[in-house]
Amino acid sequence: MMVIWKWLENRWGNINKISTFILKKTAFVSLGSFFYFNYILKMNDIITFFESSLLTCPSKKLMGIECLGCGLQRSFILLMKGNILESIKMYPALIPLLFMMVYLTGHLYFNFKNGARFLKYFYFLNIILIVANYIIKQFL
Amino acid sequence: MENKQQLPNATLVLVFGIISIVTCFCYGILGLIFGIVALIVSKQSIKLYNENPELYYGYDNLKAGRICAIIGIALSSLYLIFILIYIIFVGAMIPWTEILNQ
Repeated sequence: MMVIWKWLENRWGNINKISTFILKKTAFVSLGSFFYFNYILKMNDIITFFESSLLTCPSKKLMGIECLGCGLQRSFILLMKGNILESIKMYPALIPLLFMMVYLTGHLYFNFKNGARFLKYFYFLNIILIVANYIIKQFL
Repeated sequence: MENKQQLPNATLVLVFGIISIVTCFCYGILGLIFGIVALIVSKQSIKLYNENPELYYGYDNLKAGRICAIIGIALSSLYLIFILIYIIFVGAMIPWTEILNQ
């Protein structure tokens, strides 16, 4: 982007400041929209792929009771569609779990101060969420 | 002592301890395996650290991973026991005598 701007300024000079500004804006918007639509198309493909290849839970299939991880995939698909509230209702521990994995990789690379303790507390939070969600779904 | 060494297997214990809760679904067997591996490895590393504590860093990771692994083992084993009890009760409720007498 900066290269194009420099080239434009060299070409037109500082006299035509407004026109360079407009050109810059249009270039930025068109490039951004191009990437955005590309991203949406790719996300559609990914979501349809995930929806077509859902794994069935063996304990739900064989015994009729749901396991601790049931609802994780459905909730992940809802999250990818942008339906955050529905995904939290479906499986509330998904977003903290994802955040914990991201934080774990970051901690392993950069060695945050107090990172281990933070991860430990996040782990407790996740366990409480998963078990509470399971009990509410199963027994109440 | 400027050239401190990172504790061997500290990051591995942390990662396995966290994975043990993420994969505690599906009968809890995977979670048990990860947790037990993390505990065994952490025991060796704690022994190594206690021999000369000023040589290594990254003890916090090890401690946190150990706690995570213990909780993961507890939860997944509880879940496994729950499923076993469920299977036993369902097996007892099936009318075996009628099936065998036919």
